[in-house]
Amino acid sequence: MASAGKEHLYKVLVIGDLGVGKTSIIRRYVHHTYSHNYRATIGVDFALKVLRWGADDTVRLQLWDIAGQERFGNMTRVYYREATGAFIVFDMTRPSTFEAVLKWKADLDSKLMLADGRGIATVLLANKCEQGHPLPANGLKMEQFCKEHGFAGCFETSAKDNLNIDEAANFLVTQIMASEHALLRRAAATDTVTPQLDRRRRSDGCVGCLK
Amino acid sequence: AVRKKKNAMQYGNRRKDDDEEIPSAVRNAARIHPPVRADLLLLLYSRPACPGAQNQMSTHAGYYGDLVERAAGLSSLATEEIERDLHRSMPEHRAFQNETGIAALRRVLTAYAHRNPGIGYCQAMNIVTSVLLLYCTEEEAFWLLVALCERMLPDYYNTRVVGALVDQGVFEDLTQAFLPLLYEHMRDLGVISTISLSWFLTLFLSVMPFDSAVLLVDCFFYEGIKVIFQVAHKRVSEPAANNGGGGKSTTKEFGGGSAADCRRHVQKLNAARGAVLEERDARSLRSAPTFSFSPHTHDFRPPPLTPPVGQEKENKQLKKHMGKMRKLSKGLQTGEWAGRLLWVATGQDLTCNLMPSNVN
Repeated sequence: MASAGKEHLYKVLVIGDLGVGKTSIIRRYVHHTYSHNYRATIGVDFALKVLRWGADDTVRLQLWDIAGQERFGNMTRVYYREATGAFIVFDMTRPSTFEAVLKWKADLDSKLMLADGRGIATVLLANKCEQGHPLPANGLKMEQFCKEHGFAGCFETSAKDNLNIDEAANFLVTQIMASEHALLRRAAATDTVTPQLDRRRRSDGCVGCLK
Repeated sequence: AVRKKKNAMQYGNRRKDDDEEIPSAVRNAARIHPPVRADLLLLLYSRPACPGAQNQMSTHAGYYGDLVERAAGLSSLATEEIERDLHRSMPEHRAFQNETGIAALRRVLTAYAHRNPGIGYCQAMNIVTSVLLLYCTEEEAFWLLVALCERMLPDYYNTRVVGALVDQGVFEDLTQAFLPLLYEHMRDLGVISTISLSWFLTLFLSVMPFDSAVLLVDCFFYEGIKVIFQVAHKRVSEPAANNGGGGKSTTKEFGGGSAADCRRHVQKLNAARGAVLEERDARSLRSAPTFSFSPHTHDFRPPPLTPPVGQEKENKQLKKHMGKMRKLSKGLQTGEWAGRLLWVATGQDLTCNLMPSNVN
């Protein structure tokens, strides 16, 4: 289906509580750098990542780095508009940020859905994994958690040590493409007219009044 | 005039007496330019729009100290968020790369959160406060923050940042009125009023080179929010105009402007500003002429001034000053920021050229 040299542009949200490392992840991913000293993000920040995909395709990821403080939360509807994928980030060293993950997911799902009514592809990132703490959800299998709450997957990442970020992003892109294809198929399916004879209806009355 | 001079002297004296209180690391690292610092305070404290502001600190002697003491050790969402942001306020400045500066910032922010739970702590206050701390004592910074949050930018920092959002709406309307094409494009991209929010909340401190942003803050304390509107308008109109012009390389245009250029501009501006202030002092009691600015009428430009004869020269000076200010804000953006803006404003992928994003 994919023709050679195709270009894809995806808007990807990066959300999560204050100070979980959203900006750090983006800087690591886009600029290949890490610093302890990023400024707190006010409102929203943007970054662009260009990926070569497959043999000839190019993927452009518009990353929307969204401020984590709750009082900016009433603007998220505007930020979410037309996004096709999302990272929800939490800090492995702070359980409260993990608890907030579901709040973010619910916010996202309530304000944004694809044409087929499903939520957009969302990947959970457990950041600061280099600090070696066990996952806060004690004993709970992350996989099961993701399944239950509609995450496409989960990655333990470290912006500091550059762990798993490229993998997570590639995974998200795959997921976005998958749901895009699903949508296209669905659209193709509904656009096709399949003429068929409905004998039951016909017997109900006049041929011209098929309703 | 006498009262103002007296005030200035009091501050001067007090400053000397209380030197111990000022975190010396902050003072030294910041290389404070005393005139700028004094200006900042004087400008605010003598601002006609803030009646009584000049007295607030002197009539509330000891208030700040008490507040710091009472707030110490208390823990809340605000203190937690403050703690998380202390090292993310002005990380590039030496003053905030050590515990002394950080502790001062912590005290001012927690004291304020304790004073006003309706605001508590809002991100962006940390950035503004750290800049204030570079030029003032802790207590002064605190009272300036009070003036900022409660009088100059009412409701800007409250729990739903309502005031700031209202002004984004106003800015949106202004963009629609003056730059309809850009407005439509940005609306289609769904970014209007989202990109400018941080400009307003941080008074441009988070998006402009420090030297020019600090000057803008000075102007803001003197003239109020309209300065921010003006610069914001300039910011969105420049790329639009340049893009319409074709031929010229916008990237080149905005990438230009070295640190040295910046410094020269700032020096010039300081000199111009000094002259204006001197004249103002000489003219003493008369309140500063203000350009009427009403967001509701969408009128950006100062209306034709018909000043009293004596004020004409003063107005000219001020206008000149504002003109310079605008010029300054025009040429000094970092490539990255301008690129980002262009990307957003025009849909052109200029960020690729300006930001070191790599193609894998």
